Amino acid sequence: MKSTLLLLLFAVVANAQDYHPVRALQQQAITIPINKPISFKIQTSLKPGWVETDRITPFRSILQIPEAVAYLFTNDGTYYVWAPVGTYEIESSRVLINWTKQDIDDQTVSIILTVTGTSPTPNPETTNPFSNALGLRVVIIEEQENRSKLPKSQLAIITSLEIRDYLDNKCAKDPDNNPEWRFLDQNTPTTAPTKWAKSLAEHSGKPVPWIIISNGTKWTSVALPNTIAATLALIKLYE
Amino acid sequence: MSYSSPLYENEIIIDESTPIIGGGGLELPTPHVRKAFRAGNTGFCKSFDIPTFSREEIRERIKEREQRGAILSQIVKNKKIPTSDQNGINFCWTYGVVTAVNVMRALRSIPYVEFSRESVAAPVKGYRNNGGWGDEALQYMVKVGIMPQSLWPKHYYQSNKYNTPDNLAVAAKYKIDEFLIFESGNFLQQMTGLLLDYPLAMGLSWWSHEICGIDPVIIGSTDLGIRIWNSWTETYGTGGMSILSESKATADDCVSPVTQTLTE
Repeated sequence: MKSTLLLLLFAVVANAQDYHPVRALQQQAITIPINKPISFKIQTSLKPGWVETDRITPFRSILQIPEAVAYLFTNDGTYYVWAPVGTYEIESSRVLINWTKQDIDDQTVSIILTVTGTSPTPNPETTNPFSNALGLRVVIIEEQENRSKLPKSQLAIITSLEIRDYLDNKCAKDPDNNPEWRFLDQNTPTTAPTKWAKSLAEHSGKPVPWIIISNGTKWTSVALPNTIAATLALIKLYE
Repeated sequence: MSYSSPLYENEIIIDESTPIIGGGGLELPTPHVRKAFRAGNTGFCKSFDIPTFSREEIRERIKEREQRGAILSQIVKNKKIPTSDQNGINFCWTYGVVTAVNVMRALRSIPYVEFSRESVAAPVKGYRNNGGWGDEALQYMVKVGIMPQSLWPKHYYQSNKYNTPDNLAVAAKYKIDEFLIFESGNFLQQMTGLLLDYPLAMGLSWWSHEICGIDPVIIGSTDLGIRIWNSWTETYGTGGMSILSESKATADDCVSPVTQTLTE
């Protein structure tokens, strides 16, 4: 793993106003070949006049990372980042309160990440995430942020009582009698390699919204139809 | 367009003329400054940045979904999700958030879990019966998670005796990973979120109370409002729900959970 440690020091902006100034946006560019993870730490200097022994509380911090960028964060403050070919902006900001000095520091840093090279061709082979378990099982995978961009007829599928009632009645039941269908965001974190986690993995790299249907003897993994009627008709093929 | 939302039987509408009842669970009078923060190792919180629908589009969308019967309150009723009971404790700011989490889970057909709201609110407030705000609860649920009531009894908040390593390990399985922050006082943004099926934890200063916004509605043919799900048992309103007029539903603090770790 190739890693790069960035030490980002904020510039000093002297300002005598009562209102706390936002310190100047700092920008750092990183260029990395495809499939090479990059790691970095965001470190900031103390505001002039502040000392380590002051009572300082982080009040607000926010990290905005584009959806296509995968990342991990470790306790020591290191970010490990992977992304497909392209250019991305990662922005971090935080507000510190200095109770000793009765002062506030507002800091923002922007990282321009450029990933170079050629994206690999995805593996076309797929596996039924529900294996050969008999009974109807369905998962619809969405990106919640994209709901406003869906046609109204497709958005209606989310809350369609017709589809929900059908799935509640026809799907296989788990040991607690819960129907085995889910409507999941593609970024839902999982803790074990369950059928739902496998469904999300099977969908990986495909567009949203998506639907996977299985009855144990046959299954499909396709883009979600545009209407309630078409979705219900598709599901009924696997009843 | 002249259209009024159908109400549940005996459902009450709270507007300017309604006396204030209850509340007291928000940390007032200190103005709340929203504490946005980075959520978890893989998720995030961010501002709700989807363009808001116009009032006319909101009315049209409400009518369309109500005519299909496709509203979140009906989904939670069909799933038999119970109304919560904060029992006079000042933790509405956690109850409202957890109700929103339960609505989100019901929408996604994820099995219901009776979560312990006190396993979140008590440690956040140092095991004292204090008011707070919804994003404080969400922040804790991002960092620590939430326990089922089987591990932390309902309404217990006086000590940390249930914060054992084993229990905290279970709580971590129910971490919130992504959530959205809505602009304070932006009613049309709240309505847009609800029309996209985002359950809202809404902090209301006038009521000093936090509840869950669940359905956008049309009142009296043109006015807009929000059906809310309170945490005062099934005996409040109609099955725990009532309707707030626009002025009463405009939230000072509004957040919505997007994803929670899938434990199954």
